[in-house]
Amino acid sequence: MRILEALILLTIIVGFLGMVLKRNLLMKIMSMDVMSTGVVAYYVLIAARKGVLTPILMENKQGLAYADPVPQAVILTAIVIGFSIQALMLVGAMKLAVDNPTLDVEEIEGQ
Amino acid sequence: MIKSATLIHLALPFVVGFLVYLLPKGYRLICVGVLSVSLSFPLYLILNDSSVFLTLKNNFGVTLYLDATTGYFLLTNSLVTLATLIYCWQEGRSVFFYSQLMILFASVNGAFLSYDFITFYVAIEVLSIAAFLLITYNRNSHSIWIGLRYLFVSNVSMLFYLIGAVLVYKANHSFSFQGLANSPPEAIALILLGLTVKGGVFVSGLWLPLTHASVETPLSALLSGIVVKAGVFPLIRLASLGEDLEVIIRFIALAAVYLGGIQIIWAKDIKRLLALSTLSQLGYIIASPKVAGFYALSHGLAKAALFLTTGKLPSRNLKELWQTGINRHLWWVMTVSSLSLMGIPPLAGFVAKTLTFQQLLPWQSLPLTLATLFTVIAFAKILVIPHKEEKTGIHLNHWLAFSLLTVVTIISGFVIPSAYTLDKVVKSLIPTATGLMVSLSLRGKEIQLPTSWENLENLLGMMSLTLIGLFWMALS
Repeated sequence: MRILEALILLTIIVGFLGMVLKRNLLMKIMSMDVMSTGVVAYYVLIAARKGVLTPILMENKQGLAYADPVPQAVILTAIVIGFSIQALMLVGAMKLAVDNPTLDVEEIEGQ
Repeated sequence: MIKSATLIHLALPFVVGFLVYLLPKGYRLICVGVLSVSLSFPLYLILNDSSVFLTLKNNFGVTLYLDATTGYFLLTNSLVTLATLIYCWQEGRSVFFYSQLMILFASVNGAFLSYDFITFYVAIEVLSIAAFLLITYNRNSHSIWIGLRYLFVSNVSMLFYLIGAVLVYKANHSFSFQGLANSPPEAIALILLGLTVKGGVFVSGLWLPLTHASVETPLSALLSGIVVKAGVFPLIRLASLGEDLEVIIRFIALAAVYLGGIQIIWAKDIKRLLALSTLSQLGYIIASPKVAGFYALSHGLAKAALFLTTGKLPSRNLKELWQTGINRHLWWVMTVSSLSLMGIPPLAGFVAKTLTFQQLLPWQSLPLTLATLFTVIAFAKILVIPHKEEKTGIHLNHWLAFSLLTVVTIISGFVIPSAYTLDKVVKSLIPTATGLMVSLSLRGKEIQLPTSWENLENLLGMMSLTLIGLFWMALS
């Protein structure tokens, strides 16, 4: 559990660093996706802290270690939102690429 | 009763926002109608002055909280959006624009009503998407870049916020705002980072000046007048949870006032001046959380009116404006709004400043009083623009929008008569007079401040530094 948590936090940090260090806009958007994958995984990890059993109520399975359903339900919303924002940003990047074929952020900002 | 009224207020603009797309005839009238009706619910909340806690569905459902502060924020939203819509009346914008405008309005309302981290998150992300689509409405390269930059910064900050939210859940088994009081310091730091970035407060808000200064006129008014307040609003709620949180938020407020204030003196471009002033005024809004509602209302009205007038000026450069002069009626609108922001009686800004300064802690009052000088010095530059008789392309709808905002600014200066005592009036005039003298002595001096910290990469890097700073503050 500890190792998993460390790896997930590492994913988030790698994604964030990618956004700061990569100069290409497309790579920045991809790095943002890596970061949001890390955040989603963190929610799943916290949901599973007391058990991993699917939280569906069944007759002979009461008192077992269920996974917490609330963070999972919440992160589903966040995944949908993150996905639509990603799509929107990629369309924006496509439009920008007409005038700035390299998609280099410094070049775009310099104009 | 109040539950259904809240739900109607929340859902109606969303429904209309999507429906106007299907029934494009008379869409502007429908939008204006809905916005006018939506003025009534906030007024009821303000006059009733009671607090209501609503839970939709069951324990883990959506939670809403309503009180007079919510009422003031909702009222600001309705008024600013209504004025902006009237301003755009004959510009021939497509139904898409109006549809997004309604969705933006609805999501800002959602942010003001929510009382748990996830409902707020959903509202703020819908808001980001609607704002992006409005910023990029004219589809040129520059506006797309500004929009992408906005989406980038806000999405990254919301990712940090989400980590904070799950830590709050882990500690409390609930996403309610109340849980933050007994959460670990890393949760507080992550949540505050997300909120300060969205709200444009202190260094996390340095994305704001460029965005607000370079988008189209109606958008500037909306973003500065109301959209940033959606990010600031939970800070006001969180400040009421405990002494520790309140001190952190009041400290951030002070820093924000100075960061904006120091830059605003040297602004040469009128839209940039207004955007930087938002950066410092947001600090005043959260400086005393209990009376934030009225300050938000007075700032929203004045700032929206000023931004809308910039669309009708011959130039954005202040030096050119001093030479050419502007239409006399426009000059009146700008003067009233500027004086309100400076806090001159008997306008809304004076009452807001008086209420705020009454609630300050002892260590806050001296630095915040000194900081009003920055606002006075900056807005003196607008006051000295000469006026003249001139035929301009200003139509009836523009005058309607301007007068809606200025009339409410003047009227709301009289709603709290207890603010008018001799010593408070004198106290408000002393910094103004001092500021005007300083601005005279500064005339002709120019300093070019660096803007490189507003680059995207620096903004992202600054976020990590702010996170460390906030963590350190939450820990101590």
